[in-house]
Amino acid sequence: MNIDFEQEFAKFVSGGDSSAIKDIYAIIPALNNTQIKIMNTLNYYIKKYELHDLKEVIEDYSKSIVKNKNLNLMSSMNVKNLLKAYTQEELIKGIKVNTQPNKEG
Amino acid sequence: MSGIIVGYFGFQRSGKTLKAYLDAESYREQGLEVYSNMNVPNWNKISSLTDLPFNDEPKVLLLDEAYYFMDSRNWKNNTDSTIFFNTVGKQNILMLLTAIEPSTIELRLRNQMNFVHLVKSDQRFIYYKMIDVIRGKEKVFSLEKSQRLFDSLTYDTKQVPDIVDCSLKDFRSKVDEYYSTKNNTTNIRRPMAL
Repeated sequence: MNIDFEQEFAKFVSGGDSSAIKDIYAIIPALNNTQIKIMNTLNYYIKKYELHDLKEVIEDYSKSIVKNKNLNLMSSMNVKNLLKAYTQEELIKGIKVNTQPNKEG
Repeated sequence: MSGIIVGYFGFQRSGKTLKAYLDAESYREQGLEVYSNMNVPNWNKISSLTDLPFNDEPKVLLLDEAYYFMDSRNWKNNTDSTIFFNTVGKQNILMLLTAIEPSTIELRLRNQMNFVHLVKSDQRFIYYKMIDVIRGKEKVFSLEKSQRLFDSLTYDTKQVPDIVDCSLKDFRSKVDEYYSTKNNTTNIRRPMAL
């Protein structure tokens, strides 16, 4: 009897559509607080004055900014430790994530 | 086809043994023999790794609560552990291990795992995150804690599994004996003693 255990388990996992990298990218914020405030204000005026053209511009901008995130956040030690835990690599290998005191404003 | 190692990790009563049992049973129903420290009808109960038969037939080895006996004490000799992993692969063994945390299992064993399940549960569901360690992919799925699910189990979920003698020295002796008998020569793959 020929059974390829590795292939059978891999086939089951490959049916999933998630990956650690995709999930981590989704966690990274696309907008800062100022940008969020501006977007909310624009959406208010879009609804109030029915500015459909502006609505399309905002939607296009949102789609673009999500794919072009600012990755400077990644240099934070807390974020690095969060990423290590999230990717499970260190968890599987038994290395515990060190909690760092939050020294950043 | 080569054997692989799969881990199932989660707290007590999380559902890790249940998933390992379901995986093993699915292969038993296809005609494979299952060897385990659990008492399950139609499975082969083992008390030592040397109870495993050596042949080329694919088989399942399920070691429940493996942190009882698969810690670093048995893995001090690199040669013995290398022979163990080679044997799992070449003897086409699907090795399933359950434990509370990955850190409770010997590091070399963890590093050889092809797939890992992280398990947790609540009152209604058991949640699994299955990770393909080599490809870096993962899949999340859940099982509902239904009466039908628990009625289908043939093992006592409250029974504590027995300890397994994981002496790699004895295992290595059995490997040497097997290849000697098979080839009628000494095992030419045997690493040189250091």
